[in-house]
Amino acid sequence: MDQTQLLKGVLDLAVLAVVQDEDGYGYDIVRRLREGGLAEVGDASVYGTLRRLYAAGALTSYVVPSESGPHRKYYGITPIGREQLARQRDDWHAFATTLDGLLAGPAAPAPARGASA
Amino acid sequence: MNTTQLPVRPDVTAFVARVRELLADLPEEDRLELTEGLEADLADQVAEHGGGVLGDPEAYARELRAAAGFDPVARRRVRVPRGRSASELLDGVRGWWDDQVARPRVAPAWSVVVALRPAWWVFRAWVAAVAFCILVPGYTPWSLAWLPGVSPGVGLGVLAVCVVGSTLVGLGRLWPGSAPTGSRGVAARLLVVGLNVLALGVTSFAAEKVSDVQWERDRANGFYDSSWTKDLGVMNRGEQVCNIAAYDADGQPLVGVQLYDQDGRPLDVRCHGQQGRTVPWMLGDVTRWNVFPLGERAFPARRAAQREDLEGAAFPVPDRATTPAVTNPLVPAEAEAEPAPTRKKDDDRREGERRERDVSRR
Repeated sequence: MDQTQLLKGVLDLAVLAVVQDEDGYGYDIVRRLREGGLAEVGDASVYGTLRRLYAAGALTSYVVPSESGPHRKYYGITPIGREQLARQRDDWHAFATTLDGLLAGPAAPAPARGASA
Repeated sequence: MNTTQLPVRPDVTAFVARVRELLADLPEEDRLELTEGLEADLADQVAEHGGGVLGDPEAYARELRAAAGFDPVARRRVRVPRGRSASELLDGVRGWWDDQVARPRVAPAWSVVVALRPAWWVFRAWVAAVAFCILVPGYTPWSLAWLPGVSPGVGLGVLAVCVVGSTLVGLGRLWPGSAPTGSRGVAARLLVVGLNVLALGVTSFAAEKVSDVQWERDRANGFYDSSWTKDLGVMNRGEQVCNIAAYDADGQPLVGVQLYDQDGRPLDVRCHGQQGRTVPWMLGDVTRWNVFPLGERAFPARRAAQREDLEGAAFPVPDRATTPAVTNPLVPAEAEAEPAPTRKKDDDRREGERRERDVSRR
């Protein structure tokens, strides 16, 4: 299945996850996502998502001037962003578990919901 | 954190510029948010993977917009930019005008004009009322002359409504005049300007209507054919005749010509102060003013007693001593031709006599 389609719903979660420990600038974040396995993530999608999370208050941003080139814009997570990350992580685990159960077939015993969170 | 990097390649700059264009419909703040740092990020990518990663800027902009929560393609927002620019244009014109009237030489006169604004509010209300009264179907002939077309009560009622409305708009209590200057919408501002210009344009129409009605009334009242034209006396080419210089057919000036019109009425010359300025002829002890030329006084005699004094009075000197002889087919030719030889003979004789005198002197 095309990873791009799957990513649409969870790109926010992925972006919040890669900046939760360390601030990063746009392409830096793209690189972290790709190194983490999301090879097909589009950089424009990531930049747009950063902008949207920033507008929602989940990220903060600051510009670091450069002496010989364009400014770099760094993003860092805010308390709101951490809350959102925690909530969406739970949602994701629940969703993934449910889907795992479906994929395993009706014979398999249904695991307890949210047990692994 | 690496803050030093190489200068941005031109293809990256061009790519970012194109993406910015495709975001032109977004608010400036959002656009800045989306593209700030984009050059640095793309420059990094190009440094790692080569210029091929840039791709299609339009697809890129679509992806960027969609991910950021905007419409993927710029929505046509024609109204807002146009409204904004119209507003800016109006602000510009207003600013220019304020500068003009604030000039030291203009400012005092402008303050007078500003003080006269209520007069304009009433005037434009009258213009609107006249236009309304004319446009209302039906025509009432017994209207007020300055509110033609409707009965006086209706006309005054319409005028009252218009004056109240115009004044409320002028005072800023009624749309489109409401809201203080500077915070009005473009439509309201344009409407205020447009209505004022329209009132100016319709003024000549209203004035013409009123003047037409007035003229009709005057004519119906016989204003033009009786009341004051009677007092003008004999007219010649639109001007009053004050005196008449008469010449016979041979062109010789005549004195004591009595003139009557086709109905036997004495010609009546009647300039301003005619009786004081001229000396009439007499029929017994009755003055006759239809006998020409009339003698002219040196000084106007306003009172009857002054008119007894004829000092300085004389017949006027006509503008020419003689005038060319004229003929008429109704006058027999011999009667016309006969005096001419006589005069010729006389002239010859006089000429001869003078020669003789000249000769005798020698």
